[in-house]
Amino acid sequence: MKIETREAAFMGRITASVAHEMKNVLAIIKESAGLMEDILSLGEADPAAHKEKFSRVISNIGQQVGRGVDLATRLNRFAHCPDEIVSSADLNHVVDQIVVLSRRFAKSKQVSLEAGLPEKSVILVTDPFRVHMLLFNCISVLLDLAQAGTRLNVVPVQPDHETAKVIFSSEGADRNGKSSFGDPTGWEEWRGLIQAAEDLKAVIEPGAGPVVLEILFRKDPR
Amino acid sequence: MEGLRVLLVDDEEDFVTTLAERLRLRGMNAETAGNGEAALERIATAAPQVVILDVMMPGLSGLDVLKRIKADNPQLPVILLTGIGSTKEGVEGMRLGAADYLMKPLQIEELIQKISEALGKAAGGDV
Repeated sequence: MKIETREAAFMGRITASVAHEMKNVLAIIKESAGLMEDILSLGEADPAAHKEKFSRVISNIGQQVGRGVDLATRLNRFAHCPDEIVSSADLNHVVDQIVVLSRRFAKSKQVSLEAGLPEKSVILVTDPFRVHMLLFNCISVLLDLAQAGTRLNVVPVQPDHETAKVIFSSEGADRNGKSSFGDPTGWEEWRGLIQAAEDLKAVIEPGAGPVVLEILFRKDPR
Repeated sequence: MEGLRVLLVDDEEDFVTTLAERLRLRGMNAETAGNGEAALERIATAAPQVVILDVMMPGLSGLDVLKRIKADNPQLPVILLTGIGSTKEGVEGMRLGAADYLMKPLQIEELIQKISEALGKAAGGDV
C-alpha cells in the first residue's frame, strides 16, 4: 500500500491528538488513585470519614476508564480504515468517528463540534480511509474559519437511493451561501477532492460568517 | 512548604481539582484555574507564589499565558505541564522563562521537588 505524505500527516495528526487525550485520561486516573492513597496515609486515621470523597474519586476513575476505552476503540477502528481500498461503509459511523476524533482540535479553537446522525444507516461503497480524510479536512478548514464560541454541525443525509451527502454548517449558516463539491470515483478524483477541501481556506474569507459545505457521494460508483 | 500559594492551571477539571486536593493534603494553599484567562485573573488577585501551567489549553495556550506572566511578574516561577510526547513545548517554555517542565502523568514527589527548586531559583539561592 502506497502511503503519501499527506495521508501519513493525517494519520499522524489524529494519532497524536488521541495519544494526548489518553495521557490526560491516565493523568486523572493516576491523581485520583494518588489522592485515595494520600487520604489513607496522610489524612485522618479513620478513612471511613472520607467515604463520600472516596465514592466521588472512584466514580471519576470509572468515567475516565470509560473515556479511555472509547478513545482506544475509536483509534483502533481508525487505524484499520485503510485496510481495504474499497469497502462498504456506513456514513453515519464515519461521521460520528471523525467528529469525535476531531473534538480536541475543535476544543482548542473553542468551537463545539457536533454530529447530527439520522436513525437510518447511510451505506456507501467507497474508500473508507479517504472519506475519513476528506471529512477531517473539511472540519479543519471550517475550524480555522470559525469564531470562538460557535458550533459546527456535521450531518449525513440521503437525498435519494443513489446518492448521499455530508453537510457541514456553522451556527446560523445560510444555505444560500453554500459551497458544494464531491462525487469522487477514482484515486485522482479523491486526491483532487482532498486538495479542494484544503484549498477552501483560500477561497472562504476568515470571519466571513457562517458557512455551509456539502459533499456529495454516489452510493456505489462502481 | 506549608501554606505555599500554588496556582494550578489546566482545562482538564478532574485532573486539576484532584491534584489541588493532593497538594492541600500536604499543607499547601492550592487553587485552580480552568483556562489561561482565568489564570491571569487569579494571578492578579491571589498572588500565587508558584504557577503550574498546562501547555495545551483552549483559547490562550500555556505558552501565551507564560509570556504574559513573564511580562508582568518576571520573578513568579512557572512550571509547565505537557501531555505531548516530545519535549519541544517544554524546552520552548524554558526559553521563554519557565522554571521547568514536567510530563503528564505526574509523579507528585517530582512535582514537589520541582516546586522547591523553582522557589529556590526565584529566591536566588542554590537548591
